[in-house]
Amino acid sequence: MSSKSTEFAGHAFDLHSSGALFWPGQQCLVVGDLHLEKASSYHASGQFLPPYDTAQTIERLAAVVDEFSPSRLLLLGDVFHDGRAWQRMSQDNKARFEAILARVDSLWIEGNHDQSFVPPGHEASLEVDIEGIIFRHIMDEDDPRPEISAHYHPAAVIHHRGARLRRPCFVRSAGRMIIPAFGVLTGGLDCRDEALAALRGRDTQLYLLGREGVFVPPPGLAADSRKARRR
Amino acid sequence: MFVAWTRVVGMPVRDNRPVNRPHRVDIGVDRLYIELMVEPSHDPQYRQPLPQLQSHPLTGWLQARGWDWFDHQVEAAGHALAGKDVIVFAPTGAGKTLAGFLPAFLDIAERGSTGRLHTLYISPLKALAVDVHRNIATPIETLELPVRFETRTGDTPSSRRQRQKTNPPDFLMTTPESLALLLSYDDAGAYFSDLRYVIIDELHAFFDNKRGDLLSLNLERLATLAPQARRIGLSATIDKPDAARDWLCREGGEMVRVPQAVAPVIDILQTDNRIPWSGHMARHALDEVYAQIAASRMSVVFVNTRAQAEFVFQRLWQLNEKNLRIAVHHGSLERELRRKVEAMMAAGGLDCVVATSSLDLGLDWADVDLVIQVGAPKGVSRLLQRVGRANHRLDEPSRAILVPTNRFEYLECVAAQAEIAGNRLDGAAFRRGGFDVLAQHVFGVACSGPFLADDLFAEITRAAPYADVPRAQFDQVLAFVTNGGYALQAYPQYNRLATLKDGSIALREARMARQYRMNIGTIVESPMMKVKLRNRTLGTIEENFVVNLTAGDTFLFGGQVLTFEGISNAAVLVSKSKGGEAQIPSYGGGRLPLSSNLSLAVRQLIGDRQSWQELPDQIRDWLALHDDRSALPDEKTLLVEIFPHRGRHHTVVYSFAGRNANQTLGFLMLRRMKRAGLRPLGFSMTDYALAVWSLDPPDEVESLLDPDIMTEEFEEWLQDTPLLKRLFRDAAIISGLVERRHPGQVKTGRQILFSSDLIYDVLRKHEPDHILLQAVRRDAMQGLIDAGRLADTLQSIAGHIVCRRLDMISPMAVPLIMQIVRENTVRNEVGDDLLLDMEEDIIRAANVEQIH
Repeated sequence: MSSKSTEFAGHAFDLHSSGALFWPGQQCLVVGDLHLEKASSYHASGQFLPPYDTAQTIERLAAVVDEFSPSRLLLLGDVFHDGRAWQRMSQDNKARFEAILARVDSLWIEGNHDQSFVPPGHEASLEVDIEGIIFRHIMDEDDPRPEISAHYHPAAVIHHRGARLRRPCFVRSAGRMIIPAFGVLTGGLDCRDEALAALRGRDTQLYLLGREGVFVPPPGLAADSRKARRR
Repeated sequence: MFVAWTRVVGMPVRDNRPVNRPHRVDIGVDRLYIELMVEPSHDPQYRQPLPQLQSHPLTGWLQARGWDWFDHQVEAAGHALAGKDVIVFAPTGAGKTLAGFLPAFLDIAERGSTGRLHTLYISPLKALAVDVHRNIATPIETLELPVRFETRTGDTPSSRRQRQKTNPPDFLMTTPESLALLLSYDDAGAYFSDLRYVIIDELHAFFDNKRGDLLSLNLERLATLAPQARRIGLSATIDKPDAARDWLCREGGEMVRVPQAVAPVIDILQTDNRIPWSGHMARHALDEVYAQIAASRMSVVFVNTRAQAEFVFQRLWQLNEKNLRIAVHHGSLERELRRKVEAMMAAGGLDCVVATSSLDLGLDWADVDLVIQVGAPKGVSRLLQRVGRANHRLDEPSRAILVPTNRFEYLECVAAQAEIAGNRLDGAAFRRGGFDVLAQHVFGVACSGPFLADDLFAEITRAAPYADVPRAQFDQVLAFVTNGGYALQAYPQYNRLATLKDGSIALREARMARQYRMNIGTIVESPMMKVKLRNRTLGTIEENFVVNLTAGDTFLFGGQVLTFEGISNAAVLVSKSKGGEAQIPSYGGGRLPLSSNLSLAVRQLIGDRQSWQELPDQIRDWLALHDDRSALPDEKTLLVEIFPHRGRHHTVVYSFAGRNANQTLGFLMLRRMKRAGLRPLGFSMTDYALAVWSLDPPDEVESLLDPDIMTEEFEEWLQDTPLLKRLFRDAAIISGLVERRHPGQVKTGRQILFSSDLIYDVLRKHEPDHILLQAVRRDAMQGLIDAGRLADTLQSIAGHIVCRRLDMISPMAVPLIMQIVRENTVRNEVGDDLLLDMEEDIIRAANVEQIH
């Protein structure tokens, strides 16, 4: 696992191949969309997805906290797949998760899936302003301030030498950044989608998560030409 | 002995009719055609051992017209009436259907209708079930036999299905999926209690796929519910009849074989034009193909892929100066369009149909007198079945013309001709049953009522594809159906199955049966998108093809050149293109690997210079040129070439192992070359050869092709390969892990695809021996990965490798380099290297040091 550095709103950030974002100046680690207990949420409907996603996501979080040793952990929403995920979580998983939280100051942002649930002893807010950068779960297109958000699980398709790769990615424009989902069982949205139109531009940069590193394609996020033609 | 053959009953057939006109007669309401083969009752040796047959109205009716039954029909009926299972092996259109129904007609005449189901007819195609319904209607209605017969498929209106449940017909024409559905109701035992016969049509189409797995399990279910019911299989001629009997029949099963009366006449299209070194579109030959179509009464042009179908169809229209009625038929066209083409064909309203295998199975083929196969046949048996479609009369040879699209294919066509002349069929493939299908079946059995695990295990192991399943695996499947079967247990309140006090297993809640019934079946379609021209839906196209398009790209679809406009609401929006040329779609459906039989014949042909005399000059010159520049890949050696091309080093292996095995070898070589530091970037393959390209050339190739690659790299690769992910998606859906449909909700293909990949990763990490992963490996070994064939190939070549280092590409390598298969698979194999390569390209281009 490794990182690439970038600059955003006058600050340096490390983009990690796990999908976590680290802000060295604040000793702050940012992760979003963990979707804990996603698999078990399907069990009630008789679809028995393997119930290992929570443990694996927490393990991934522990590893990245080990790597950066942040003083602050900013949880950018949808930590839980639904409002009752905490009740379904095993004691082991709860203990492991709480052990991580005990090592840091955790800051909780409300998501949409988690129905504003936070574990006992924590509080969530809609957004937080750190050094003029607004952190929230879902991008607010009408807010001109620099913003870092999650929610969309951005992914990009890369064509290179006849092969096609689809990877989760960070999307960074001049004023906004969207981080990829951190949970192991979370799908992705093509970053050319209309929903991310606010980030389009020639200087927008994608950062693709590889297995071992973060990779940087040529800059630019165009409108999905197909859709553009329709409008 | 003179044999008269008719497909229509209703009026006497006179022999003074024009020889090559089919004998068809209209008798009132509809055109009637029955697959009934009869012969004049003139043969003194003719015996009728069945007293029931003598007195049956059908016999009197035939005899009144100077006809009688064929021996094989009587023989098959005799076996079935004597209480034996039986298979009739016969060439296409030899009156098999009537042979199947004859015992049912005889039995019900004696026994009378009981108001319960008497005979079940199962076909792999809905359309065939409908067709057979029409066919048996003829004698029943003409003779006013007191037999009620109906069709039941997914298309049957629910009101009629409901009635069929409460008031079943005597004969029911259906599909394996509808049978599974009928068996899942709690009254299935009563419903099938009086069943006498189960007729399975196109039996050969069930041996090597999951639909066959499902059918074999349900046949055992039926055997439990209705032990008296006999099985009657109707099959094309295959090379392993005993294996077919083991698959279908219980003890004492009989086989009836009907020989091919006349050998087919198969020619290779001779052309004055240059046959290309590579390519699959037959552009060079289409004016000659058109001339053949124009000279025949009605022809079918078979192609191997949908892209070929589109291209050939469009070109033929451009050449169509005689205004022939030409249509196209392939699996992505809207169902109604396909039905329309089939109906026009049956009504004689077409001169030619360009078709993929979507038209392969036993539909009514009307007056087809010529089959043209564009592209190599890939297998002898399949070719024979296709060719047999032409001229549905036993006393005249079927006529076919093969059109090779490139020089390799020319060799394959010559080899196929020789194999057919020598009557050497390909080995029919039989598969081991899938655990995913077994899981679906177990859920279905639970829906019909409580069962004992011991009983069900005994039942499923009587089905041939599952005979080898150990109890431990069965128990894992049972656990999977119950609650996912994970080592980590949680939430018993959601379990699907519960154990009752008496030890039997039952659905925890009856309403769960609805979930099962909404998800029956083993056919998982790849994610498809609708193609829409304004408000009209033209058909569907693979999503994987669409993601490679950008606005303004043109492609052929349904015989039109379309411009890709965009995507909206999961539909592909198109407009009609003004330009005549199109970017050819690379979507390829139904590509079968070259059979081992045929690939050996091709290598022998290459190695045998004597036989080159038969080849056209240009093919001979091509072989000689390749020999001159490199060496010939004959049956004794394995040729490997290494040459530079466009800044990459290409290693080409002429394995002749078929597309699937070559693909596997490609992945394994990538690993081995990566380990050797050669920085491989990708590979492409055909049925004949494999090309791997790398930044550095290999020093030697023996170690790259050592059979130990099947142990060292293989195991590791198997854990990792995206191919297994592709199979896992199917297994997840078939087994019910992920539902296609859930009451009140519809999933799109994309959602299933994406989440199943992630599920696979999680499962592999935490429970690598989970039954679904075992299911995927078991499936992969026999088909997609073709491990057996690859291992055989590597074993046989050890010590016979001939390596040539060339300055440039060789003639035979051209197809590989020209048509680098655009793998849609996510290339995890080279994933990060590919991304790194991309970054380096950018850096080189920008001439900057490093992006931070």
